[in-house]
Amino acid sequence: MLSEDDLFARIINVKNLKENCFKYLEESSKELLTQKIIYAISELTAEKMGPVKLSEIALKSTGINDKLKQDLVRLTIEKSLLKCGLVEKLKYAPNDVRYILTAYRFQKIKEIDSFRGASSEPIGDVFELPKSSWPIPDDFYLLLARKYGYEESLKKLHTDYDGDLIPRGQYENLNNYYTKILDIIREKLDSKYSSLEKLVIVES
Amino acid sequence: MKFLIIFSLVLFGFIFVGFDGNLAFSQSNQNMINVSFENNIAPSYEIPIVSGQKFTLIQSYSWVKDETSRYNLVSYTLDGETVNISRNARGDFTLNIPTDSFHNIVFSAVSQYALAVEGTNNFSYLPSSPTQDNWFDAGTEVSVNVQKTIEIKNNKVRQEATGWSLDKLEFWIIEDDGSTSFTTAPITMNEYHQVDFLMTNQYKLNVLSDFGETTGSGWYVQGITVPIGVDTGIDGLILNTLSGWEGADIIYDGNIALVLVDGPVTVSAKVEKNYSLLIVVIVIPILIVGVIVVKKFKRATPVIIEKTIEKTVEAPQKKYTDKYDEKLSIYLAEQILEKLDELYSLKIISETKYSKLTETQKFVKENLGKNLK
Repeated sequence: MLSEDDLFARIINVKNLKENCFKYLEESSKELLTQKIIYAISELTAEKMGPVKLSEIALKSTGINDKLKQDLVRLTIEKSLLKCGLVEKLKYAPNDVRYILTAYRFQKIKEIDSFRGASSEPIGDVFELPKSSWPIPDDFYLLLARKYGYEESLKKLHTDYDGDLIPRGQYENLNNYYTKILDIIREKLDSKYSSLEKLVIVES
Repeated sequence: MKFLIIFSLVLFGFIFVGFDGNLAFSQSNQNMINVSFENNIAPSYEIPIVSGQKFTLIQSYSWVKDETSRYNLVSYTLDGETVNISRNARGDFTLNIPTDSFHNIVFSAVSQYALAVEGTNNFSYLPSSPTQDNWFDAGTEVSVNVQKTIEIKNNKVRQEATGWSLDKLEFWIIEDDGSTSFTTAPITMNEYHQVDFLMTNQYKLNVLSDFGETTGSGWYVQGITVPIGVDTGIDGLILNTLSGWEGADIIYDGNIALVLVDGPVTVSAKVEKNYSLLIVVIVIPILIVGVIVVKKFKRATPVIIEKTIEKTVEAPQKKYTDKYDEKLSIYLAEQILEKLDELYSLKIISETKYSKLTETQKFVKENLGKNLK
């Protein structure tokens, strides 16, 4: 299985897509199987925190998991998504092939050919797949929630102390204790999830 | 070229013929000794000997076969009579041969291959090597037995064998089945083999408490977060209440405590005496009796009663909030839930993950609420 670092890299990196590939992500392709497959892989990967099997993708994207649908999904992935570099195919064993998205944020680009060689130009904003379908571990969300919880609890503690609701000794004990835990949470978020926190929260 | 080197080693390095006494001998009383090797594993040779003089034949116990194998002496046959040799890895085998007549001696040796073990020093071979080292006769099946745990620092750091590989090609997990040692599958010694053991560092987590029984103590790999707990119990009519933990960085929200094992850790529960049950059972009845007595006394001597009431009024009232710690813990649980709700409403977190995470938090909050009641 892929490491968390590998999964995070897929979230952080923005993938450039030519117009003919970017179209699969656009609103106009909403009803197309290609887009349904992209979203299915994304959601399944988030649940499993790793690459997913064809049968799972077929079931999620079409609602049916039979050979016909699997062939249809496989063909769509092979002909469109793999060629565009949107999906990566991983062979764990001869009978164990899994798929994963190469990125979760995409930039539409226009290729320009000139006498100085080929170059590309971004078109529009970066497109993001829904954050709820990013492969982020539960631990991250829990740390975010805990951080907020401890910050708010410390605020309340200060207010209550100012309002003379607790004695000084108890206030100092609780303040030290809650601050210490908050520091641990912040340290863990900064060391392990700093780039993710910025993407998920600041840019949300 | 390789053959020539081996040939020269056999001739010059391993075979030495010694004469005791005068080296000079005359042609007239000369005999011969014919030395050969079974299956022609080394070149044969003849040695002239002098009748009447002591003659000692010296043959190396082991000699090189090729880059990864060797020959090891097992027996010799002197004029048709076979004698087994006590097996040795190194040194020379010596044999005194009578010089009275011609003698024919045939040495027998077997091919041996080495079985190298990496990753640990606490191991043994099953069966052990016939030459008391790590070389085994061709065709034999050998297993390696390893002690699963090796204490590095008493009750603090240890290593545990968690996997092994053969020739770095195949890898197997060593299951934790409660046994103290692990034996590999038999390895057929027809070539050089290497067994690597994967040893993982483990650290001791000690959870201590002056009261009750603790949970969570044990050996853990580095980086794991372990839930710990203590059942503080009741000391007569005095309840023991857990107020926190000390000794390491612990995440504790009033109900669930988690400690990160980043090395050997000892944590202690901070237990406070809770006299509420004692008050309910003993103090309150005394107060009630006291009030009844006072009421009776009030009827008899009104003036004194007035003073008593005054004193009761003057007694320090509870200025501070009761059970503030628990109330703050509940507030914390509420805030955590609020944030999770926000993440869900902003579609940052999926419904599946939201349900799973909030379930735990709601449980924590409910239990804190029950404690408060």
